[in-house]
Amino acid sequence: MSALLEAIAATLIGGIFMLTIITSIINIQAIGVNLNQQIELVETSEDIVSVIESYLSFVGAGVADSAIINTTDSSFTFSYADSIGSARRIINIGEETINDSKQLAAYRDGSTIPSLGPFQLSDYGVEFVYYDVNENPNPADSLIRSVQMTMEFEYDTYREDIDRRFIRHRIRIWKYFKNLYL
Amino acid sequence: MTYGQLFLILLAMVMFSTIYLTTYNSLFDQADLAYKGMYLLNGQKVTDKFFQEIESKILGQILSFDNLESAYNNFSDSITVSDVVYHVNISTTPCTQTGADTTTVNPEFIRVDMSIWGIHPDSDTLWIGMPSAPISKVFVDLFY
Repeated sequence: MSALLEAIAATLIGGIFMLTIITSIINIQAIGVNLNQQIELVETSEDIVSVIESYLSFVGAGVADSAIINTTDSSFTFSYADSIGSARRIINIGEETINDSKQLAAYRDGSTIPSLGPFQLSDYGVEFVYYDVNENPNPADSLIRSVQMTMEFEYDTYREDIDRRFIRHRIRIWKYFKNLYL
Repeated sequence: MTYGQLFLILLAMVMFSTIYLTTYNSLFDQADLAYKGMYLLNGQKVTDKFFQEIESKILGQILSFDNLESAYNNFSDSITVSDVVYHVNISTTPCTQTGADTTTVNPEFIRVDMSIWGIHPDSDTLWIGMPSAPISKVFVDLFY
């Protein structure tokens, strides 16, 4: 009888150990996947931000006036010219909603096909804050000399064996429009 | 069950727990590294903001090159990004072509050194450039 009890107890303890090991393996796999995707999201968002910064460096280049066309909290439209006197190019960078999801995209010259993006954003989306030469926020468009752009990228890490989880990366950049300072 | 068997079971449990804790600890360490990378990246953007600010002010003649040293030496500011407060400290050093030279009255170059620290949500202090090894940029007087 005591041998039977010992065998039952050993089976129970062994079962608990096995369950712990299996849970650990699942957790390790989930953390590993999420971690890998978080790193990928950081790398991707850094690449996107680099391109956006290169777009923003064009603000006011080659145009004498009306460099900044439209400013809102979630979008920014500006113009530049490839050379002085040549036709103006118009760039719009901002947030749009596609399939109930906020996306970041850039459009050139009124095209309906984005020249950059769309990239999935979280519910935070993107936020532009504009500053004048004295760092006062939200001046008239003609007085804007820099912009602070905050965006939060999102990645849906859904996998059948791991479940759904959103990974996010918020990044903030500042861009001083040197062409407007000259 | 003898004492020897009991001891062996306890030993097995201790060893198993050690492996379990070590595995999780290394995973959390890696996650912490990834998150710190995100905060460091934001800190680098803050340094870039101040370098751009200085460059733009000089280009726009809002700040003369001669006043750069006094305007930004021992300069401090704070910026909050993603709930992390980044504390910025800037110092300037007049330079000649051969390097730092504090005796120069009208320097041709000014080196701007920046160090930033912020408190990580897990209470670790993050440094982006340190006072002993700052992030530096040398500005030249275009009208020298």
